[in-house]
Amino acid sequence: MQADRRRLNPPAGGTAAPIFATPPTNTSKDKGQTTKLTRPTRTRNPDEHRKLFLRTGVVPSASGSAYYEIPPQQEQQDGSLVPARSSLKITCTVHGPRPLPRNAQFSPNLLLSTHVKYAPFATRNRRGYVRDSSERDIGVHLETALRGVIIGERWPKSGVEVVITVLEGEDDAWWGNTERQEAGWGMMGVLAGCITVASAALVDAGIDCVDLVTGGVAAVVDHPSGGGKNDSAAARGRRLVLDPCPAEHDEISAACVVGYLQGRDELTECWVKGDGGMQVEQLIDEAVKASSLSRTVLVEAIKESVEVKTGAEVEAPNGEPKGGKGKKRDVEMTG
Amino acid sequence: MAAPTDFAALQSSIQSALVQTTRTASQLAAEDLPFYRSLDAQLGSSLDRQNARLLSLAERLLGTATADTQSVRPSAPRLRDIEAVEGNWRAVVDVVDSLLERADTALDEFTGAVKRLSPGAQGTPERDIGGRGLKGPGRIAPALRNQEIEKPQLQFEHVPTNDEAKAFVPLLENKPHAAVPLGESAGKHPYQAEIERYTYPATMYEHVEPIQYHPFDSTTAVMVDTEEAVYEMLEELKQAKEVAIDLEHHDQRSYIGIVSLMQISTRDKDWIVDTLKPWRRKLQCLNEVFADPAKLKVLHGAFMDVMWLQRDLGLYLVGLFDTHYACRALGYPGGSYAYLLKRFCDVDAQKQYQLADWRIRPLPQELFDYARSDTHYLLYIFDHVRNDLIRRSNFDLPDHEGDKIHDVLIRSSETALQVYEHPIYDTELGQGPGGWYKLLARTPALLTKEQFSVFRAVHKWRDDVAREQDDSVHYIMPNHQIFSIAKAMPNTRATLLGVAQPGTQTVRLRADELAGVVTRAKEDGEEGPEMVELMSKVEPQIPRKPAKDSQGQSVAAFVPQQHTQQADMVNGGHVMATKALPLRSVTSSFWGSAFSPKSEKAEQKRSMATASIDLSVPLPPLTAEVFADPAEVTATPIKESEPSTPVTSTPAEEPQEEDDVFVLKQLGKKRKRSAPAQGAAQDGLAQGNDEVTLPDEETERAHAKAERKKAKKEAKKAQKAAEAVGLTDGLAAEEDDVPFDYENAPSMLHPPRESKEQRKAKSKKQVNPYAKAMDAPKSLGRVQKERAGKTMTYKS
Repeated sequence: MQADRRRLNPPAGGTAAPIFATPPTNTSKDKGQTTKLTRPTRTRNPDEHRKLFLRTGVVPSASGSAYYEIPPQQEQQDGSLVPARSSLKITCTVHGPRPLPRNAQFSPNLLLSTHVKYAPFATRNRRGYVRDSSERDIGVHLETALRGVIIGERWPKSGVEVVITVLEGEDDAWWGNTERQEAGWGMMGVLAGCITVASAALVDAGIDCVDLVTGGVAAVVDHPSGGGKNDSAAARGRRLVLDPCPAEHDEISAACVVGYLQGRDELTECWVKGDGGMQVEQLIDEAVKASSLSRTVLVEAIKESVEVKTGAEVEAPNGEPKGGKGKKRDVEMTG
Repeated sequence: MAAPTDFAALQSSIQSALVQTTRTASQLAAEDLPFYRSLDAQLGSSLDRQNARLLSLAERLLGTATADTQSVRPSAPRLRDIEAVEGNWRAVVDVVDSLLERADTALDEFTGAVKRLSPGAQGTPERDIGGRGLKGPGRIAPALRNQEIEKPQLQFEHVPTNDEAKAFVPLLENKPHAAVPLGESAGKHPYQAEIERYTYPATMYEHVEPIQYHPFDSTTAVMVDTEEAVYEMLEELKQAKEVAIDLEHHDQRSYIGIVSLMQISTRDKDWIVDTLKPWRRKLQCLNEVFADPAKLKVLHGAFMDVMWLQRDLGLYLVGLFDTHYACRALGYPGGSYAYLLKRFCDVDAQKQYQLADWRIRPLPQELFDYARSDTHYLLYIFDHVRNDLIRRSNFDLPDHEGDKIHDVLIRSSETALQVYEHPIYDTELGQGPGGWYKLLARTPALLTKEQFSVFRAVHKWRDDVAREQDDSVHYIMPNHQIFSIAKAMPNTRATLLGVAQPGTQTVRLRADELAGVVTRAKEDGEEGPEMVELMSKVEPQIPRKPAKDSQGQSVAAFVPQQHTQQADMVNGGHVMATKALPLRSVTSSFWGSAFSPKSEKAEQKRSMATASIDLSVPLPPLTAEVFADPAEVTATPIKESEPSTPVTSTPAEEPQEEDDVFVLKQLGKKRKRSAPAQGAAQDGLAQGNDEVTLPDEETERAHAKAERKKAKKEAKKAQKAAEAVGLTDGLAAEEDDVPFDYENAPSMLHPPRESKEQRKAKSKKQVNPYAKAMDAPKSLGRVQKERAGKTMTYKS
């Protein structure tokens, strides 16, 4: 990357946000003795999804927008200032449908372009301002996921841009793990979130879709011996979890992201990474389950935003109810 | 007035009179009339008299000029005095404009640039088209496409009347090969019983080596354009076992459309029947072959052909084999005739001639050859297709399950059983293939009451005019123009022609009439129904397909709206242990409590308060004291905001106090901030809505504009789609007014096979113009070397 002098760039190689490697001691008694850092463990069931925060219409200037977050599920236990787990934060704006530029070739369909960018501060490893290959990778996967739902022929000669900014990404592994491997498990969770949030933003923009697509992620984790106390020896070892949080697992051997249309029972996107072994099909099924779960949140958020929109319209003294009606009907059909 | 013989004399007399009048007028204008009037009272009164006379003359002139047009406006403006001339000047200009326009068309007609709408001129159109070769593979000479030809249908023994209100009565006079006598058949289709009873003969199920067709170049077709030739052909057809048939249809200059050509082929011979002869209904005698169950009729894509045959010629097909359905049953990658031709005969079809004007007589050689090629190879193709069908079929399964020939029979019989109906215009609900509902349903335009009324009126007007002139509705006015007229609601001739660009000849000629229709509809629209209201009245009438029962599907078994069902979510016997807790989190670590429902109102108020503070509060000077107690800082401005509010609301006082010194920026800021003070806007902002909900004028205008654009786009698209439907012989015509069914919509990822035209369009490479822009944020374009000397960065 040569001279990018328009921005304030940190030194090359990527500086990290400060990490408190030795967290402050809880009591002054055992000073000099650092508390033992413990890896967070998964407290929810293997088939339980983390809570989601989803909200549409956060960016007034875009034709559609949404914000997605997996907020921290529990209070920070140890005294460390560093959160044990990352919490995913994604915003998505949809611009369009808008006419293609004059010099563009005629297209009978809506041209979809997706753009995924991590904020420089999104992950522990600082990201550059220019999109790197993993971001482009997520963008391509997202595009395939969305392409399968948008009814493109209704918008000839137009394009739509889906722009996603990842404000906080999922960790690839627990930060305390010194010999952490850069396997890129975090980007699987990010992609699932991207699919869901983009779907919400598309609905917010009023772009016709055949169904709501939602993302879901599942993983095969290698359970260390100390993991499940009650697990039998056979069940120990590899097991399937839904919505994995990479920080909570010692070793992830495979993960799968799907873009799933529940109303039609279709997959628009399926990405399996790692060695799933014999469990690939189960893995996909789990991911589908995860996306069905996130769909409940998506549907609720969309319903709420519609209610807000139509409610505001009724209150407006001379506002035409037409637009509201149209929007409302659209959503009812998709839901 | 005067016979064209002494036109020269007439012209010179008019011209001299005009010259004299103009000269006098300009002389008078040069004089100072008010001065003379003041000198001589008599002159004044005589001037007044002359003025009145001139005015009445002008008024009468305008009256006669507008007398024979159907303009509904109180057309000739009343000119009572000089001021009336000034006031009604636009109306006068309109009248003069329409006169000029009419003169223009008259001149066009006279010089022959435009043919008269009615067949009066007997001049045969020049035919310089015969020898010209093709310019490109996809194009045909424009002379073949659009021809101003005298309407042949006016010469028919049964001239089509386009105003039938009753059901279509079959043209059949006698019924050859009847199993049920004519007049006793149960349904509307005279051959219903026969077609339903029909099965393919046993030879259909035998693998026979394809019989080679005769070489195309060394044989020719027989042109059948006399009654005797028809009977000769009939005798020969009676000997054949399979007959290939195709039609050429013209629907541009005819309301219901006319079959222009019928091609018939047997194994040995081709005929081309001219169906534009006045005696065309005599062709009914062909029913002896067409309705004969012992003879197989092979057509390709017979969907519309069947309708046209019964509408124009009273012909019915018993024993139809549609090769298009055979293609579908066999799963060929293409279903078009061109594809079959390429696959089995290695011949490139010149489908561009399909769009030619098939009314041209005598038929040019290219058209003749093309027409012949449509059926010449068809029987050979049929042989291949039949053999393929036999090979792929499994005749052992019960109920014809694996019998692909039976599938083709079922589909072909369905096609043959279609019944033609007169297009009856539904003013009220706009139903039917030519109704306004279909057009509007495809185009998500939101029209106001008036616009909606205008839309329907113009649509109706177009249909009426098309019926009256016997032209297709698209020839009268393209679909998108209806929308643009409905949006603009022009009520004068000039604005109308400005909106309907490029205007067709009919629109230009009847602009006054159409402007009247628009004006009247606009008035009616005020009491008329709301668009949404009427559309929703129509919608329930259309039966929706029942929603698919998704319970049986693996994961879809779980209803997303109900959290309680989460626990029941089952996949492959794996029971989920999740408690029925809602998955949605209400708080966000990023937004804090910004979105919680309670805080919204308070949040809004607070932000308003701070806004007013920074506008008007004379903040205390920033001293060290301020920083001493943080509590005081927050408290101070709020306290002070109360007394200072009046200052902002009455900025007029400021100049007095501050000695005419004011800050422009401050005033500007005030104006902007006061906008969101409207209640509705506040709500919209507080709830983080997008701008759609703001009743703010500017956004609304932008919104309306966007909608207009969208509608325009959609209208264009709808028109394109309509054309595409026309191209594919209207195969999909009937599926148009069904609302979009999300349950059963085809998958976007694996869409169903598309027609040849679409694929062709798609095969062109599409460039995403945003692709590059998306790779942003870009770094500097090229490496910029630092040069010695001064830097330019802080140049000022």
